[in-house]
Amino acid sequence: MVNIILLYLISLITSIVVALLLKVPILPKKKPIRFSFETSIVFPTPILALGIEAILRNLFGNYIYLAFIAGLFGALLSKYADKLFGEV
Amino acid sequence: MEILDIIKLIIAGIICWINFVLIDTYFGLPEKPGVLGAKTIGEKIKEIGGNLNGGYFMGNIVCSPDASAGTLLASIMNYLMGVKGGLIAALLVWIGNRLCADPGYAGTIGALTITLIIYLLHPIIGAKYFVGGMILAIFSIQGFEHKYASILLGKIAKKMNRGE
Repeated sequence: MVNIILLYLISLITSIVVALLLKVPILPKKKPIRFSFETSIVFPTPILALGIEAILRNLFGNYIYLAFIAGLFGALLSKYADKLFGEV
Repeated sequence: MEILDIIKLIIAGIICWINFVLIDTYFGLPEKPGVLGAKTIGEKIKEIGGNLNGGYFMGNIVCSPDASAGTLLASIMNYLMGVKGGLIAALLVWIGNRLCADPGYAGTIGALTITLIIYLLHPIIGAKYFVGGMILAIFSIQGFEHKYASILLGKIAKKMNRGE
């Protein structure tokens, strides 16, 4: 039984590192931030990674490699959100 | 023990109400309508004597999943699956937000805060009370009396510098 908090931390750190490599900005450039559609490392990358980690853990079980995959997919979804949902 | 259940339901409803109204107001729902439907609802509520900013708030709630929907969905998922359900709800609310031309700050943060609140309070008030309480909270805004609800929301928006 792997510690659940460790899995969440792994997915969180993986998502932030991958997002940094993909050159996602740390905060949106457009102000005010509350109306900005630009995705950033603070929002929503960690939330997407944790959500995907929770789904994968519920489906397949507690595995460390699933946490890495969740972090990777979270960062990719955050980076390409505009292409997936259409630019506003 | 039925009286205790009702008290828990009312307390959970008040917590949900404060959670979603404060987060939605902070993220600028009363400031401007996100889509045309929200604008129409806001103007209609002004016509019946309500407040325009409160009307925009109510229109935005109808037109995309904001903190109200985030609170309700996260309560349901917490009831079904525990904390990981709350995280899944936040992810799904963000996807729903982006499909509805909404940046998604209010919905996801509302889902995460209610997950935290339910986690902290679950020895006293279970997640099922938050599901029922959120239905009461959203009924008090969207179902009971539009005019006075919009005036109240407009006043809260003005207090938080999110409306005229």
